[in-house]
Amino acid sequence: MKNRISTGIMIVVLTGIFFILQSVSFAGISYVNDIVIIGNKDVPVDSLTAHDIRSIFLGEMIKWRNNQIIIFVISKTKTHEDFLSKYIGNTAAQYRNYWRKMVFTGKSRSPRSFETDEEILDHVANTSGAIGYIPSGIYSDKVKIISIERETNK
Amino acid sequence: MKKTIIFYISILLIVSLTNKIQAVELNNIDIHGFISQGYLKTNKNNYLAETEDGTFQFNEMGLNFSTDLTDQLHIGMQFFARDLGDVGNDSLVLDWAFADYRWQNWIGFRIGKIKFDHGLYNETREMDMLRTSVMLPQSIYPELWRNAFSTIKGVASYGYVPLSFMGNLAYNFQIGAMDFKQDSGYRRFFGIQIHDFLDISEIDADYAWVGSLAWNMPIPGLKFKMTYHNIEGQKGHGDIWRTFEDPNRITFPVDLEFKERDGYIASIEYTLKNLILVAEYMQEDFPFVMTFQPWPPQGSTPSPQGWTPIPPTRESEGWYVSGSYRFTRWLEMGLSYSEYYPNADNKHGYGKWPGYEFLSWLKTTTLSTSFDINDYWVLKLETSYNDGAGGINMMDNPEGLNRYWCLFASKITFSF
Repeated sequence: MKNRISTGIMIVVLTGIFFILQSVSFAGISYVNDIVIIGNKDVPVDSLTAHDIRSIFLGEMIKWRNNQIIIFVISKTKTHEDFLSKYIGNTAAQYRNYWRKMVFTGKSRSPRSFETDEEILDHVANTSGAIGYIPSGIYSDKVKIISIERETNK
Repeated sequence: MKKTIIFYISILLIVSLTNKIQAVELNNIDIHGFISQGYLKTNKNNYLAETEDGTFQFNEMGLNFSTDLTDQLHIGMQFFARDLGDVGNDSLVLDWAFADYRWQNWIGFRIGKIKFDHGLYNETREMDMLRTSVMLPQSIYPELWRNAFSTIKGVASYGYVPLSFMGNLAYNFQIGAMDFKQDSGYRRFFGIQIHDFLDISEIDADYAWVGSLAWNMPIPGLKFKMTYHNIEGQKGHGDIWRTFEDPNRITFPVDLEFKERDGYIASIEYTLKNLILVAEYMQEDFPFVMTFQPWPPQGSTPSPQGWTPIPPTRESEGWYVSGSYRFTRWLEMGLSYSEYYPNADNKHGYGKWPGYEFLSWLKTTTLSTSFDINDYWVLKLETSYNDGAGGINMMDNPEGLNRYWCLFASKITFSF
């Protein structure tokens, strides 16, 4: 049994090393110039790491640091694909399938989505604890911009 | 049958009553569903059903309802029916039904009938539209035992733990009862893991538990997962029949008792834009006592002429690697290779009937194509080349088995 466990782990670890070596050049996380992350003005943070953003939009992180419930919303515009590519590392089809998996296994409802970026802006502005994303060009001061922290070994 | 027809019609009605095909929301209750029809054909060997002649007895349908009672309390249920040869027969079952309370980011609780966390894809195996292939690799996800391994009735605790720049951990612990008793497919598949000619007529277990730990690594798209399961107090009985080469089939009743049954799956998945690469390895141990009724021998003592002594423990082993790539919005292709050994201590078939050593392995290469016709319809075509017949039921093939054979599978799925 022990030998087989070792063999199994070895196969998976070697495969992992292969994938890591193949992906080193894609490991960096870049800042996005044309998309801004916005939050309702009562959201208790001014900045988040890229991993926090990923966790929020995958439904893994559900509460802000003050225990307030996080309400995240997504758009059906081109901005959505750009956002997914930069922050989630998924294509639109993969992200859709992720939420279909959550729905069809009973773990969650689908996230609320909007047809236009302006609707996202309005919804975030009017919903306590809400977070979303919009093109920087339509930003208005009825929401606050959440900046992206560089992730370091804290 | 009547219930299934009503169920089928209700899915069609829900779809037709909406102006635009999409998920339905009634009084804050979400309604989703899917329905699929497949076709299986083998050039040799009956596999899972009577596939040598081609079969349409390969379909699934599901309808689920869910809502949020509060910001942190979610409830839902799904009804499901499927047919695969003589397994399922479109009987309507409650697939899952549970309440999910998400207390904090790092911990939540579920109670009820919950999808069983087993490897990367067991929870979603009913959701044909989420993957490129028609069949999941049978070395890890046997189609026949999927009912028993689909859900667990009990409680679960789960959560996500951030690891800063190291990514995050997702854990899941489930404990409860699994429904082996009602799963005829499981009985058929598990019997031949123990003995080539064992037909299990009844099997059940006291309880089971599973723990999983998934590490979403700092490299975007890279995930490593370990799953361990343990099934306690499993017992059953059945018949060992002599051999398909003997025109006068003789059966010997046996009782089975498993001291402890456990196994693990090590999984790794890497997603890079439109490319998904996966590798999984599974091993399962099941030490058991087999008591012949009404005469000795027992266990590995001398057995009837021509029979292989049965060791008191078995280890099965399986693994696969796969890659899939989405070429366009509507076209995705996948390639996989898997190996499965019902008895990992005898991978070369020593002691099998001469010429039937290939019952000790199943090596499968599969090419899959998926066409996303639109957001709701998916058509898949798949062909696989197989070496061996490990895990294939002899009773489906009374005229004998062939070592090399091909399977063609197609499936069309509608989901909303």
